[in-house]
Amino acid sequence: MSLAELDNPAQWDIYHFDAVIVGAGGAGLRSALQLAQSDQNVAVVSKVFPTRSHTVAAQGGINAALGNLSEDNWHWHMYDTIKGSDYLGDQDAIEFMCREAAEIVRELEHFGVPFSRTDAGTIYQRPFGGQSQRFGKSQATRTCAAADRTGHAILHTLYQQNLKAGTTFFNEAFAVDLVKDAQGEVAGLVILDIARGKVQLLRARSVVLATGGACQLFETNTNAKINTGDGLAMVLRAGLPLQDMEFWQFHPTGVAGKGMLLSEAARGEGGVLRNAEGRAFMVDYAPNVKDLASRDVVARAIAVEVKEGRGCGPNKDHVLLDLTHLDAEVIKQRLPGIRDIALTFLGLDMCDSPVPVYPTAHYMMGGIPTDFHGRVLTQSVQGEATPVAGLYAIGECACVSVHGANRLGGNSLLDIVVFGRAAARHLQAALAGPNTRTQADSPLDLAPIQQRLAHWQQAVSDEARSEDSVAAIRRDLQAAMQQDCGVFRTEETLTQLCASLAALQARLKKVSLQDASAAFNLERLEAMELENLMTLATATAYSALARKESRGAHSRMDYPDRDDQAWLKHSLYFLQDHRLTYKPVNLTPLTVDGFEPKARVY
Amino acid sequence: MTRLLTGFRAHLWQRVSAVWLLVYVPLAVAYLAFQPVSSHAALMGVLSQPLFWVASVLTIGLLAVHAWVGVRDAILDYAPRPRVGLWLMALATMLAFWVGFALYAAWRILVEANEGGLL
Amino acid sequence: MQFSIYRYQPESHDEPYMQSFELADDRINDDTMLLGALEMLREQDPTLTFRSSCKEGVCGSDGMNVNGQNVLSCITQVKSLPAPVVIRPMPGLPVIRDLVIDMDLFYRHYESVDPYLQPTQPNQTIDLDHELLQSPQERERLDGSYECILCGCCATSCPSFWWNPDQFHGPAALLAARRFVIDSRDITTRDRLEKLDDVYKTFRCRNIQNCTASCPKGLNPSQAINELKSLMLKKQVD
Repeated sequence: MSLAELDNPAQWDIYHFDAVIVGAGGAGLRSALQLAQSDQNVAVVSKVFPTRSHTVAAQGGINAALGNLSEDNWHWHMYDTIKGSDYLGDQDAIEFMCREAAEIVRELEHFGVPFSRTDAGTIYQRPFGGQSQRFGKSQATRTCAAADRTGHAILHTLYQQNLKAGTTFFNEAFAVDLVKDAQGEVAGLVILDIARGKVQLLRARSVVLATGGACQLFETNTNAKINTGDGLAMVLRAGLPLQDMEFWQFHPTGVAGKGMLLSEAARGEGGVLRNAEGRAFMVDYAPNVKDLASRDVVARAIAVEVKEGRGCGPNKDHVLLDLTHLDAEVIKQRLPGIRDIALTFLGLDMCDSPVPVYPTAHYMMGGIPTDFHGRVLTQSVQGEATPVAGLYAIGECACVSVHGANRLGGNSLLDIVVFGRAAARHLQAALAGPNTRTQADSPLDLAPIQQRLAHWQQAVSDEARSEDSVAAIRRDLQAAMQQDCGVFRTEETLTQLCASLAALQARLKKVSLQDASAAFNLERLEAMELENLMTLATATAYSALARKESRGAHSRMDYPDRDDQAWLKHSLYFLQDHRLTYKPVNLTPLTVDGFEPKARVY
Repeated sequence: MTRLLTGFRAHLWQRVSAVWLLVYVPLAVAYLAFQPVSSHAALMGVLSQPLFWVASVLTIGLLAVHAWVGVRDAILDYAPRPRVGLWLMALATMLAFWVGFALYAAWRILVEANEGGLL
Repeated sequence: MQFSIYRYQPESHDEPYMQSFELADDRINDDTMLLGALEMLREQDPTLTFRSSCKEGVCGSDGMNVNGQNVLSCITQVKSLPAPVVIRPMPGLPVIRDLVIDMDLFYRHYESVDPYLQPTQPNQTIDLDHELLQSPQERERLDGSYECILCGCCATSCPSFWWNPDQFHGPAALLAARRFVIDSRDITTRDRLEKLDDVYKTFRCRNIQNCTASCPKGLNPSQAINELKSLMLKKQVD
């Protein structure tokens, strides 16, 4: 697209929808399905073809207290989730999610998800970390699984149901930014058609953000190249806050040094972690449930083992995940996908050989603050949570918050479908009401978006290659985050990180590009993704620096204890002046008694 | 024309006719090889032998079906799309001619054998 | 190590051409995947364009033709390839740019086999208090069908698909069709088989088996297509 065309929005392709969903992972597709089935005029915008969204990589399963293999109920699930969240999760939202779980998993089964089966023909379930019966008494078996490809099975099924429902898709389209009207209300979205390099305007009464996580911030991560937190950065640019950005989950068992995920299902099926002495060390950290402790606990345990010199390998920089004592048939039938990963990337067969693992950036608990209807919340001047008209957020990019300071395995697939559907239901009701909001042809404030697009259009330099590049800045950003904001943080590392980020930001402003073409210009796309990542890195650094306690995945070595007096509250980060405010945690569920914060022992 | 005997039925007929041809051809060759033929009339007698004659007429039909499915497959795969119709028409015409000629020959065999008093 | 990579840029009006790249051998380890090598080459030339996402062979973005074979670059070890490594877009579909192809036609075939479970009559409500029961044996039949990642390696290596890309469903779509035909929960088996019973949609398959040879997930679409054919026979007999 030429600069002249960019200057003149009348020349852009313009579309009108009731609602636009940004992102075609599990959350976006579940939401889209609901809206398409109710005949709303809805479009889904996806950076990649929908089945390539990163939900596809989820392995272990989806939690629901079906009780197919052992006694279970949603109240126990609720307790586990709250305890897992280190009491930072909002208990109304957690109750809502756990109560919906059984029904929504059965709905997925009716949609066609090829769940593994029990001999009775019901959905197969496996034990996962942090699950218990009777409020912590014994291990529960709650994670519904389709072998170790549950995310793939769910994502493809939801896409298939959307094909049936006739949902409109804009595939390989990059969401540039939210559009506001003259009143400052959300009125749509500007997207870039990647294949043709064309800017398009989607006008809509509502926008649902479902853009997933942003673990591309870290050097080793389990995330896909596309997980750059585009929706989160849009929200910050729109002057709205992000919540709890200091909480990033490091999955205990990523392939050491590479980052591919080896599902918690490996431990759920009986795998154990061993250090260089061959000792199954988790007993020292979680005497009751050992390898099935919550992820933050296991990740920290591995990091401590390595730090204290009990790591394996020539560099003593990892531990081993050992499945060799399990029946090879069980591995082949229940864990075929991760066995493949180990074979492909390590040349090791998990049936005969333990594999090297190390904690790897995996999931962001924080994100766009919402209520349990998916409505995006901001904070009024008086400090009250107020919904933003016409804007919803669901899935990993949202912070409802059901995961608090640490997410339990198997709860993310549940989160995306529960809140995907809940947001769509709320939106359905809102759309059915009178349109009190923007007119379809009201003037829009497009200037900031045009400036940003024009900047990258003009950043192309014909001169000999400049020293700096988008790839180099991204590499340095990932290294800085990994080093200063990893499993353990301190005042010192975080202060240093804030300084590094300012320097990187300055480099990004000046960097030039080499690719001038319109069609499939990946370099320009990566530059805009890097802008998004940079914004989120800053949000993380400032939020983490401010939180002077250790809670869940946020481990401050200088403040090793949880401090409920001062810090049982959510952080809210605003882009302008890196302002931080706080809001209380919801401790009053919808129908049952709240769970008071207690010491967390596994 | 593309859809005259298609899909699974074509697939099935092609296999049934192939099996028939596999059985018929060696048996026919063996049968003919062991017949002492000294004159035209004797040949007519051999060819009009009822079991052989009926099997041969059946073969004409099945060979046509087999050729139709097989050659059409080749045309659908290789011929440029706008000419597919033309090629299929040509194939159908050729097969029709051939079937007509073969049936005529079969009928003539009966007639000549009858005239020769062989039947 | 030498690479020879197909380049095409639609705006330049140049014909496609092969460009040589070189990567220092010490940058390639035993476990370096081709995608990693391509990313290093992109640092030399940021205009080099290819799709990729998950880096572990589950999203299906990065199918490409390497030394004549369709593969996913993220799970192909560079050391396993003889040099020079010749990389082209997967054949048979239009090229958008460099190694990026337009897979629209491929997706449309997938859509046209109704790739969704139909466990109830259209007007029947679903009972969300119970799951549809399926025995482990019935579920096991779906293994080898549902794992497809729609990367397109199979269809774009299939001569029958090259010949009739708009009419022949191709191996991936037919694999998906089989998945729903044999799912014990689906009640539309007969309709599905009838819809597939067509000279073009299914019966262009000539058992060439390139699909099975190129599937990066080790699936066997060729066998699935044959199974569809034998299910049609069973349907006729029933």
